[in-house]
Amino acid sequence: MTDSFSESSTPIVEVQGLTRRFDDKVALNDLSLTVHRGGVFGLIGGNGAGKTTLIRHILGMFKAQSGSVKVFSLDPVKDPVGVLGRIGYLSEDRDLPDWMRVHQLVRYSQAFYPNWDSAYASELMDAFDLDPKAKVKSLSRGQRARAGLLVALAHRPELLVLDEPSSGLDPVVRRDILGSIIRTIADDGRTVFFSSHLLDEVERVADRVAIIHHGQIMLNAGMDDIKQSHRRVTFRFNESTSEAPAIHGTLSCEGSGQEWTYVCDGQLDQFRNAGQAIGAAVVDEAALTLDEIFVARVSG
Amino acid sequence: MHRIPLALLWEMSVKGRWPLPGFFLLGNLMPMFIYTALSQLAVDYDDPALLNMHIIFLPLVMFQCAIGIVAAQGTLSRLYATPISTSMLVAWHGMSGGLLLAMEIAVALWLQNLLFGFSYPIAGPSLFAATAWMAAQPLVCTSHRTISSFCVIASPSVLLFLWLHSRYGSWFAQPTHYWSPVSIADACTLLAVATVFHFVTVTVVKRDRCGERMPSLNGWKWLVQKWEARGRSALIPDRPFASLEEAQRWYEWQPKGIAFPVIVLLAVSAGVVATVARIVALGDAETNLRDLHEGLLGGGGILSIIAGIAGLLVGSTATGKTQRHREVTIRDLADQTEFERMGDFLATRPFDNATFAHAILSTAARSTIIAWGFWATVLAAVFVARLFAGGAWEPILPAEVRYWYLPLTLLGAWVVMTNISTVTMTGRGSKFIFTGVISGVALLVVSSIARSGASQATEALVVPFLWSISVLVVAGTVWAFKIATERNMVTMSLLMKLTFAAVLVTAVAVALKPADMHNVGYMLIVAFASLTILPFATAPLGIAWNRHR
Repeated sequence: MTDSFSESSTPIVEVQGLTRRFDDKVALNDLSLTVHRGGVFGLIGGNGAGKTTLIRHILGMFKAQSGSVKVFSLDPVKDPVGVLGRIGYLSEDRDLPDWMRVHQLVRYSQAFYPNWDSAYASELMDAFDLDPKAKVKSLSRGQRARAGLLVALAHRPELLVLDEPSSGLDPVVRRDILGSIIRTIADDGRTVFFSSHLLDEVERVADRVAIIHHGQIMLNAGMDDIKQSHRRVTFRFNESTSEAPAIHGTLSCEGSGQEWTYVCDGQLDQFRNAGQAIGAAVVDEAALTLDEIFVARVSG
Repeated sequence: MHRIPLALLWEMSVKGRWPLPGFFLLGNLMPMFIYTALSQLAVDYDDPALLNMHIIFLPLVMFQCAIGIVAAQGTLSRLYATPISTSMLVAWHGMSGGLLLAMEIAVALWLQNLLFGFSYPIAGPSLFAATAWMAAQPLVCTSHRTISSFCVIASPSVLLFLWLHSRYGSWFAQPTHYWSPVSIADACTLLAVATVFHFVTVTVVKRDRCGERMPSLNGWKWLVQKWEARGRSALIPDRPFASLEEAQRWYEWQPKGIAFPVIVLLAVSAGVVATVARIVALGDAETNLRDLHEGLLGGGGILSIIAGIAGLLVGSTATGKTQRHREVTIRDLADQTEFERMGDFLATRPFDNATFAHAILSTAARSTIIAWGFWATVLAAVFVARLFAGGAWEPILPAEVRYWYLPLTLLGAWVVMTNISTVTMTGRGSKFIFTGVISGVALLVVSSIARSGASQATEALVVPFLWSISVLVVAGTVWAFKIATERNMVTMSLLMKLTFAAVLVTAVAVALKPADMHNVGYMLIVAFASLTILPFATAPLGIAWNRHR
């Protein structure tokens, strides 16, 4: 995992100062983000944080109102063929032409991608347990996601963009199919960019994570770095207080009386020393899950 | 409980603020155009042609207004989870829609009478509209429809429209008089039919509400299976598509392009079958074939209306999201929020906007040519059959254009279909409804001034209006091509070919012009020629506007 997203590798997605407004609502606010080639990039954020808006800019479905978006060093709006031909995309609402049958969908999609791998498409069809004669309209939400994933994967894209890929998938499919596919693609040296609100899933597969909140990137770092830099530390103070004593580096805290639990970001030693300097003793220390880190970041 | 119907009415008024006036205007545009043209010829109200037109336009206006109401009301299934009994649900839905449709028909006929000095009956057609609405409810209200259920439920409607025809004379013969006054027997018949259909709808919706599907005919299933087994290979080659252009043309044709030819084929077939039935029942083949011939010629003008409706479908770039929630395409046509935006699936196909637009335009061309071909072939066949039945060699064609009427109907259908589909391609069709409403009102004003025969008013208002519209169209065309060329959406060679085509259309039209044509006529001809080529520039621009928001 640690080799992925090396800063020295080629940037595959470069977003600079991107702002997007829908009437009065600011969906993206001067957002900048770089995704390097290789590995799994997880984009997490609450509802309405701007995840899908950002993805739609990357795909050229939104034109930047200000700022710039480059994918493979190309403008996705000006050069949709150059960009989209190298991307596989699964949309959040699993938008597919309902009137087609699955085998028609595969044949239609094949025409657009010179690198289409028919053997791989058949393999995925079997793995996903899709009936080629079934109408897309009659597929369940999970089957629909699998059909969408099939056409997104079969041309072996350099960049796979998945918008809430787990939505509608049962836990088994999520773990066995989606997880393994994402890792396989990443291990192939290709890039996966996916958004999700299922943080345990992101934690399991992502090499790098960005948290988007109110249209801005709040945190963008490697998964290992994030987990190492965020800790929960419980201090016992000499005196009981109604409010938590302030310690530099605090993201959030809760507790009462003499015992307060802090979530910190940064150098753990410095944080611990800062607590001890105001007369507190460390009672407990623990690692955080991505879920806890996200909550601390967003609500703290 | 009285608040629920109020809530439904409020919902209908809000959702319908664009579709209701939009479809009312769309439905009334063609009759208004034709009546305006006829008013110049001082056609007498008692002329059988006007009587026939009234009977032809009435269901068309009714149908288009009904689309607006369906869009305004929304699906009935959205209310299935509410604590309302099925019969009340159906009653509120049916009665509010029926009342609104009756009012729209009354207003449409009143306007025609007012503007053109007719005395078309209002009460009978309005009551009939409300009843026809009730008769359509079993289909409108269910969320699951099959073609077989459509046939079973829609069959009685044929009888209903034949009954309407009989109010103007007899069931099968030519109409002889207007439906006025409405007798008590007529009113009771309509009330009885509406009541019966209300109970049919309640039964159907009760099944639908608990997830029971409509019974399907085994024969139909067999046909579908045969089609799947044999016909599909003709539509989808076993080999992969040779190019993405071929794949996209297939995509555009399958659910959208095919609609126009199928509608024309069905309409023409219905006319032929009805004529054959009349000949078998009443004899007099020559007269009946002559009527069919005249009807088909009139249908040449209606091709443009159907092309306009088909254009809404052809230009749609929504993919599965819309259909996933609702199953009737015609409803999708009217719902601006769900229908308009390009679906994610299509938006992320790796092709450029010009390729996409050209695939849609070539589908529109194919669709128009095949539909027109059906119509023209049957027209020719009926003409020959008339000759065999003892008819004279007398081509019944509009005197002003004679045989040029045939290519004009083709060109008219092309212009209407491609320009409307381009509006749909932008994914912002509702924005254009306002323009349509304004244009429609302006047209009505201009037509009534022209009809007044006051030459001073015509020179002062009508001529400048027509000049302005024509200049706007021509300037808009030039501007659109400039932008499209700058963005490499139109190549120079295509631009040259299109310019040649526009010049050719203009030259032919000028050669055929009436001897006493007003100067503004030349500008109108140039504007029409511009409209024939305009979509080649606006379609890729519209796609880009929709795709990269």
